[in-house]
Amino acid sequence: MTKKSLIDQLKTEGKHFVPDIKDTILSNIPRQEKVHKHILIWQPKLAMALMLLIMITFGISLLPKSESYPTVVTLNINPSVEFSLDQNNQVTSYRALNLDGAVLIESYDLVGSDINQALDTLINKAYELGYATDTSTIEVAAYNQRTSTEEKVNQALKAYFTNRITISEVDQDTLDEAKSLNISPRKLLLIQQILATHDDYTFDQLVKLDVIALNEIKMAYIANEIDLLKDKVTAYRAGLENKKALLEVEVNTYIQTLTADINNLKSLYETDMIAFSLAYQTFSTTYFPDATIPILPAVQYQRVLNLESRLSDYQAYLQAQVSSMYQLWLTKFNAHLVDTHADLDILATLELPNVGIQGLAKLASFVDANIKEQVFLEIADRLNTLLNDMPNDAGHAYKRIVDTLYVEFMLYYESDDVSQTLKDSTYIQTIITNYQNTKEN
Amino acid sequence: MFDNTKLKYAMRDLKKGNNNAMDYIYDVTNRMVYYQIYQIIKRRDISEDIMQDVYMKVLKNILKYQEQDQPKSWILSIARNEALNQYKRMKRETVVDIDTLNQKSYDQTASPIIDLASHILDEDEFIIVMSCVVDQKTRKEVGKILNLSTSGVTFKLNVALDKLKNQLEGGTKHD
Repeated sequence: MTKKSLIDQLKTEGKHFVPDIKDTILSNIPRQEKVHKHILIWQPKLAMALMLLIMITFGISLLPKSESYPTVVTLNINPSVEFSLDQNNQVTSYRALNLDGAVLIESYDLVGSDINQALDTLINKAYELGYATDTSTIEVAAYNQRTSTEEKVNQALKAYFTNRITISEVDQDTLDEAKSLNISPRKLLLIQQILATHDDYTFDQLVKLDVIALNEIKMAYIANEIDLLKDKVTAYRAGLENKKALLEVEVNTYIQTLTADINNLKSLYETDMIAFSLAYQTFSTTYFPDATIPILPAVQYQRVLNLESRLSDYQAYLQAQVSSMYQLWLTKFNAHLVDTHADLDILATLELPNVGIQGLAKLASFVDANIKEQVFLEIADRLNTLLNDMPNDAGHAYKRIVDTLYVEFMLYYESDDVSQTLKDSTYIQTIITNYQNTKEN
Repeated sequence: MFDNTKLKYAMRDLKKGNNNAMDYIYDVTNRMVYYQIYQIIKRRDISEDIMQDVYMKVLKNILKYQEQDQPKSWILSIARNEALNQYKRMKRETVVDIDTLNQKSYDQTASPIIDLASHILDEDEFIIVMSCVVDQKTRKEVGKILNLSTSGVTFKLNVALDKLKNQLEGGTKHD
């Protein structure tokens, strides 16, 4: 007997060697109602036959052209954003996949942008807001039903961003597995990521979903929460704008009152010197509580005239203070959103800043200060506000804006443009002490 | 062609309670399971019963299945244990030697060469012959399931075929 005849005989005998008892075995197993779509998963040949039938029945022209498969790109920093692209890799739509993502994209319109530009914009913004740091991993993945297109887009992104982003590499095993499953390799990776963290899904369920639906599962996407966040952010910002408008009114009223008081003093000086001196004492106590009151009415009057000459500057200074304060509120609010990951419950308890004209005025400091000292004081005011408002559990983003402002503050503090008297003032020294305490804590 | 990835996912699905996955699991494993059982038991009627028990045991023990396990190897180990347990029971329950009971003229059965192979080949050799020759699986694929290298499978296959050939020709080359 030759080996060949032995093999032939084994093959012949083997044809009916294994009994067909599948039905018997499966009948003993409690089963779920079978979904017809499963056939497509487990029986690719049958699926292809069905597809062929559909093509013959309805005509090939009804099928999508191979080049029209949309590409989906996801950016994951922790803010997660998903882009849909056209064939030219331009953004046709995009959305946040989580609350941080909603914060990241809220001020942009990226539709029509090249994907590289769109990603660039958001990555830079993520650094600016404090979501990303030098040690952050920025993951980008492009998905397309066609494996070749998917790979091409991923390679293009990698070439553009080089080591600024991480693109998951697909090894040969994954490529082979994906091919055998008739899905793209990165879709397979996405499914595997979901299965690793979500026990309530099966491969059978996930493989039928598109990348957009898979992303929603992966990120526990909740559209309602994102909408709610948008509403809350809009409402809070509107509250800040309203607060700013009220402060501007307060500034104007304050200047009007100050102007009236100065005019009254001037009038009294010309008509009733004793009444002037008495009125000046009240004026000085009100606006310059720490100042020594000169004895001679002429000196007092000179001070009034000096103040009058700087009144418009002072008004401009206060208005700039309001704008600056408003920007600070916005920055603080963004830092809050970043540090709390836009937690809706925490956001609901966030109150509007309680700042009135008394927090801005500082007329005495202004009168004594030169222009550079005024800028220094304005920075000191912002820093003081941030330090006083710093929450006990202040996060990375909040601390970052404090540190940035402190560097700016110290530039002036260490320069000769600021007088030693101002540097040594209780106000400035308290700010420095508070900052150092914060760092130590 | 056998798809290990699909089988892994089917196992995972079964683990998550999707019993429908058993359809696919059975389809891609039943032949090897049967070979494993038959090599030990050497009786078709009992092998069929054990095969049913094996798949019930797969379902019962699916939570013990680990992702890193080779699914076919895991199922085959269940089949082997079930077959060995049954073999021991059969030995206890009968005074007649089980080998004696099975001793019959091989040419009187429907598959004399396979029956002979089950007697003279060891477990690996029998499964390799059945998988590579009868089912025409690749040696690489079979090696993966049996935890052997491709060259190891090739070697064992050649040894097994020589053993069979010699036995049929009355020789004792490899005995």
